[in-house]
Amino acid sequence: MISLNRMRNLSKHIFFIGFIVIHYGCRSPLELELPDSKALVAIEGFINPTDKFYVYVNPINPIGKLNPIENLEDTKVNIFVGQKLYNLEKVATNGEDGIVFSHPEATWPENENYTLTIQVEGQEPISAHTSIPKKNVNINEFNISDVQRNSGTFQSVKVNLDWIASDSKFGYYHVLFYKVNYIIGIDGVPVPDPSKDREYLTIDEAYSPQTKELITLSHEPGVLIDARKVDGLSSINLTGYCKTQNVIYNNKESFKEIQVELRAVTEEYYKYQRSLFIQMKGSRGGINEADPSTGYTNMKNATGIFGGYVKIYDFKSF
Amino acid sequence: MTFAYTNAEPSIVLSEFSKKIGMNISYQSDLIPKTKISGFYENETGRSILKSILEQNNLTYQILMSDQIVLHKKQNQNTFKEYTLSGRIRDSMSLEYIEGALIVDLLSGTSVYSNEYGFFSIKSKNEVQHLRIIYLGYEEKILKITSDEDRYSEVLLKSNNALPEITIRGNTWSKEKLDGTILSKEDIKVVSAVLGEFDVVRAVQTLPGVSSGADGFGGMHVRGGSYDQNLVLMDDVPMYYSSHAIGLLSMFNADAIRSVKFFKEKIPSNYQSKLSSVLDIHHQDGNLKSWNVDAGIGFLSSKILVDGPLIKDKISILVGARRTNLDPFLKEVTSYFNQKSGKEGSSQYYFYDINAKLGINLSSKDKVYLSYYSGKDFFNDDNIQLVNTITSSSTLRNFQNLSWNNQLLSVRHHRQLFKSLFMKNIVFLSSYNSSLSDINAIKLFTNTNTTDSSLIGKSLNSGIQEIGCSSQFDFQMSQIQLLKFGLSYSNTLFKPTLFSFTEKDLVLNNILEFPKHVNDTVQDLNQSNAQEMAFFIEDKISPNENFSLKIGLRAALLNGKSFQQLFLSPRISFDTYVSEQWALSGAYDRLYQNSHLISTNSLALPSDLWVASSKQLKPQYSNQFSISLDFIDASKVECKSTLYYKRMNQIVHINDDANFEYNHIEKLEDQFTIGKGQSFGFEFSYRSKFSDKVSQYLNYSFQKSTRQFEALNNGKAFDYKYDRPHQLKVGAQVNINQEFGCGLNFEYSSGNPISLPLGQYPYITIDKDKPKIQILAFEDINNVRLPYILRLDASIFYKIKKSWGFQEFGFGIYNLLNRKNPQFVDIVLDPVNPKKQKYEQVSLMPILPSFSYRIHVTSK
Repeated sequence: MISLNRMRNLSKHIFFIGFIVIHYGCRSPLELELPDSKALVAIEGFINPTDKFYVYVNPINPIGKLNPIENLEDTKVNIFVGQKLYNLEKVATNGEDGIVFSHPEATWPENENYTLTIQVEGQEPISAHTSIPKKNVNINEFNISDVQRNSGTFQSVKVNLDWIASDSKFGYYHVLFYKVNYIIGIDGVPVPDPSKDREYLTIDEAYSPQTKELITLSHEPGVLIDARKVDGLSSINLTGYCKTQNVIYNNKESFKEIQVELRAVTEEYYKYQRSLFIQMKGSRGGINEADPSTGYTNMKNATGIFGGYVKIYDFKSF
Repeated sequence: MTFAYTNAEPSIVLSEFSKKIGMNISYQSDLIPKTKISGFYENETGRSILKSILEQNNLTYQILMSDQIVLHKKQNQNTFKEYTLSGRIRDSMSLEYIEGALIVDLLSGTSVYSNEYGFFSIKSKNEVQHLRIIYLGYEEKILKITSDEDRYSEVLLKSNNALPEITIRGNTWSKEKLDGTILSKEDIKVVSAVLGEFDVVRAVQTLPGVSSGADGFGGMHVRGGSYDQNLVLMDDVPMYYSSHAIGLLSMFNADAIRSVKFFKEKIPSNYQSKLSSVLDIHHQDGNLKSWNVDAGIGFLSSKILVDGPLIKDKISILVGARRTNLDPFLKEVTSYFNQKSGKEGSSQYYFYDINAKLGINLSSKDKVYLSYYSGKDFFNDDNIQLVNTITSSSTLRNFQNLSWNNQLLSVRHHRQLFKSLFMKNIVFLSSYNSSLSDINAIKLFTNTNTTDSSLIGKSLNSGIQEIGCSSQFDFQMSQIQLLKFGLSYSNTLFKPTLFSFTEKDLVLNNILEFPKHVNDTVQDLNQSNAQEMAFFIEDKISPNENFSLKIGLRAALLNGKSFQQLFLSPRISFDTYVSEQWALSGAYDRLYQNSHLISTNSLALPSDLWVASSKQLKPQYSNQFSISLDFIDASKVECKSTLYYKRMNQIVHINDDANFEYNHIEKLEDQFTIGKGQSFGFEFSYRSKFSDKVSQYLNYSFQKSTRQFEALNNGKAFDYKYDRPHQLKVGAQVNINQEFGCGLNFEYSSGNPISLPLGQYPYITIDKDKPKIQILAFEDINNVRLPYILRLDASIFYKIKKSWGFQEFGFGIYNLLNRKNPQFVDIVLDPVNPKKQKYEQVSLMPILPSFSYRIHVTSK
């Protein structure tokens, strides 16, 4: 006769084996019939009046059995500004077999409609439309407070930004903060350190009382705001805590200035960035196991974005 | 034939005639006079001879069955009287009411069904009534009632203790058709058990047009609808999430069930409205004669059911409970695997449910029921890991919790008001809560004595509380007309909550003891009420046995957040016999629903979010047309073919850029978009029983279901995630003898459509110092279909009858073919080429044997 203890152990072992069988037996490769897809190229291009315009053309690295695009060398990229046509030239590679195009001399006026066309060998013609918003924003006020340092190294600062739209019609915004390190120049005047680009700062607990949203962000610096629905406002306020991404710097850091870049962006710019933020986050917040965000695109016969924006700056020194 | 008689009493003549034709002739003795008669007939039919004999005494006859003739007086058409016979049908052993018993007046051909409280009312012009009462699983009964006034009868039917079998409901003696599908306990047990548990919802999922979300998980989906579009009632109380173990089992204890009704068309007007179907389940009332104990143990759970009379024939009680067995093992096994990967902690899962019912017979016509149900599922995963490096040491804790529970309470009263009028009153409370929490905490110590800590959590709660009441009246107005009408009211409080929280500068102890949750005031901010006041009326007219028409209307005033709307919901159907065995029927149903379920995945998790209708998210509604052709061949074969088309409006989906990470306290509704859907298809079902031992069914459906939202997929329509173009379900039951039987169930189903990325590309980050992030590139929504689902289940059972009851042993194999049916898809690195990625499917239910043991004890 089997004792109670032995029976208990026996049933445990049976359960163990059963659990292992179930646990390890349930993942298997999946062979799927994927539909023929036109969107095997990803395009990204953001246009604004003051900066050089770049278009990034990347082959999509396929998952599963789809064949990637092998040759982007003969790709042609053009941009129509109203009726005027500009041919963009290849200026660099983008690693991963991607190519970067740009136009060396053109300026890009505000309040115009732009059409981007791309011809990739063996693919349907790619196109997208956008515009550059009118520069109708002005920064009312930009303050910093509660600077936190640790052993002389900057950790975080509270920022408060207030801006208005000159025609009181608010739209979409992308707000970015970064710090600038200075060095002493030849004539003894502090100048931005040429060896270091601006360092983008992450922002936590961003809050806009008008839109009543508590905004936290993912991998990208900056805050995306949809202010279309707030009526009767004279200005928009944003408050938050900016932090350096690096926990420890050397003690001789010469951080002097914090800058804000306020971008008034088009709807497609906003939707694209927001959908990517959500995808990169890996969830929709409180709802786990959610279907992933499929990402917004305004491209025809491709994926990606062609978006426009205008920007203004302000800064505060320490 | 030739027939002659000379100077003989009519009774003797009839006796001789009966022998000649080989049929019994029955009659009331006082109908036949003693005056002697003579007659001679040559080359005449039996019918004409009999007619001639009877005409002399103002009598006529009716052929009841193939060997039975009944004589009765001829009616004077100018002065007819209508008699009403009403009563209740009950089980002779337990005195439980029997719903759906067929009562046929053999003389007139009229027939009715008993309602859920066993009540029936049948009108006849005959002074003598011959009633035939039939109910599957019970012995047939013939009643002969002579009366010159209206009568009330209690009819007791004896169970024939049948083993589970596939039931055929065809009966050529009555063309009365029941709307909907009725499932008996035997029907439920025809479908193989899952881990030793028979299940109501799995039995319903074998019907054509009904599917699960993903290979047995994910709720019930009817004709391309979502699982929230099914009205699930337990003893007349609505349930919002009726699954244990994410759909592996339902919350209904099959042993405690008395009746199951399922409607996917011709939905009666008395039911509160949902877009797709009604599943109406009633528990047993409790035995009024003797005490019974029914206990069982299986691989997954143990259960017990006790019922009996607190006061014999007066007050009955039923109490049942069920709980998982696996908790201690699960904890040990998960703890073992955690230790192997350097963690401490374990996972836990259990469920339980409790049913209680009290039935009180106030009089022969008055009865009160009190019903209570409580059920809960609980999953928990908690582990701590210590990570030491040269420069630092950290403690990481991960805590996940998912739990959901239902509590239902109802008081029901029914009464026969008059001979043809039956009343039912209900007051109920339904409460559903689900909670999903995910908390990650880290405490870091460095060699330079610096510390850092953070706690990030997110939580999702969905709470619903509904209270309601209704009064319903069934009125048998005449032989050909049944009228139902009534009023109902319900008030539902929805409490969806999503939020994330952080807490800084924790000391180490806090890693082990999480701070008390949470900002409860957040919960109230998304709260909303939905009210419904409705009047319903339904008239069924059967002018003759070949045709019936049912016209119903439900008029509801819906109140919600900043809105009010009057909704009219007509429901019209007809049935007509085109021949003895072929019937044609059609239906139009217009349905509405005062709530929305936001489901973000195909597993139909209990954490899916319920929200009330509002000005922005108006009530959803649908229009459905269906037409069917039935074939019934006595009690051997039953076939049905149906074509349907359904159009849904005001359905809700989350926006592509919806994000619940933030406290969107006042903007929850902005995360959703409104659109429409359509579904059409063909369904075929076949059931046959060619011997007492073998019965089988085959159900096939073709379906196309799509959704369209302006804000999604560039406004293009896409396949709905539960769209299943082809489904085939086949089953067979073999009862070798009274004790031993076996069953097989086979299911084939097209795979679910899902959104799969085609590939990925590097994202241009604004911060050029950061490494490039890979973005998944999608095309259309639900652009790919998963592989088909295929499963074969088998079971055998052995029943040993004893003087005190019986014992039953069951053995089953779920997924006998061990097919890896896909539940969802993961993207992983290709081991052959680490720079590439590939798809990997995850299956949850491989081959699973199970056993069960059940014992039933009855007191004498």
